[in-house]
Amino acid sequence: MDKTFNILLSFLGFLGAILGLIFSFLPISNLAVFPAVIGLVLGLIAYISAKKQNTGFSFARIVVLLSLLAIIILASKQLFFENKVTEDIEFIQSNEKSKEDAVKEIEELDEELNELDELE
Amino acid sequence: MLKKTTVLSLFLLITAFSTLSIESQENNYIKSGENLTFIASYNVSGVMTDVAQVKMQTSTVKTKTRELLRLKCTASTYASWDSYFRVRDLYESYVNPKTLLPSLFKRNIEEGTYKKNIKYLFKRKSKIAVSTLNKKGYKDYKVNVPIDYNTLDIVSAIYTIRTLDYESFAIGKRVTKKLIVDSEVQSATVKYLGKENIKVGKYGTKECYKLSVSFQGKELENAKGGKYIWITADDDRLPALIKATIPVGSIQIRLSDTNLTIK
Repeated sequence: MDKTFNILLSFLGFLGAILGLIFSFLPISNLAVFPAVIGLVLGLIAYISAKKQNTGFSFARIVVLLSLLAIIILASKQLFFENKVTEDIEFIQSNEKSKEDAVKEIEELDEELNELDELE
Repeated sequence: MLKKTTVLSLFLLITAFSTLSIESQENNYIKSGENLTFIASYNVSGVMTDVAQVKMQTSTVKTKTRELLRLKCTASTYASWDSYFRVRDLYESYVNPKTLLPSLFKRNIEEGTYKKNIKYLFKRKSKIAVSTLNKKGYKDYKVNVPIDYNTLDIVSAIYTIRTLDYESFAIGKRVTKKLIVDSEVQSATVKYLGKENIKVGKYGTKECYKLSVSFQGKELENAKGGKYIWITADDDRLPALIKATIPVGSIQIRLSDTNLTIK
């Protein structure tokens, strides 16, 4: 592989790594796995090839490191972070209020419900 | 990503499963005090992402003259989603504990910036449901919707489906029931597909009744694609898994926790 091809691989890998990093911080972090793995593979190929040719490999190394970082962040979220719902006092109170209102509304139906009970 | 339609589909879906039949089916399964927690996930490009927690709870509610069963379903997005698309939905139905026929249904949704509040007061003797809508542009907008004696709402339907006598069903048996959705009566059909063993979270592999659901009606037809529900084939009849295809991706709701002792 020539130097230009190595640079192209590194650049594509860089895009993957950046996308992976962005996704890894979002709630849809699971999607980070695709670009991050692609970034890692392309970065590694470019790195090994550049090293064999004894040309500059620092950009490829950065791509590999960024991809690994994205994968580590994703794995950490999977292993150590549990999805939780925020305790929403306002929502809890509105649920209770809804119940109180419902009781009053159903009491308006009492006469009809009593008649239906007799039918049943 | 988590669009309003997706959230609506989650419930329509659940709803879907609701369609049952069986005139005034006697309820032997749903008791007060039941708490079920589910994880709602969205599948895109083959990757499943958990987006919300769904809870189904039952409790007894007393009025001056009677005891009713309150069937409450809530959906709340996980904290990580709240800054992008916050969902706080409350669906509740006040039903006769024996027949699960509703007297009052309330739906109070808050999805992103969209808010809507609708309730149906079931006047079965008069064969109407009084629908009251509150949302942007509508304030206490009332409509009388003609109903049958056995017309259900979304929530009571979800629970009613659990009470059907699947052991006596032949594979392929269909059950159709009318539901009131967005102030219109629509029908939904549940087809019994037989038994299947599936993994139910921390409770291990359980034998379940597999059902498919289809809708006929303007609103519900938007939820096209396969829709399936698995209900545990035991005395608890728990909805263990719900799967549905939506226009973009698919959604899955799986049981994660319950206060019942699962055998």
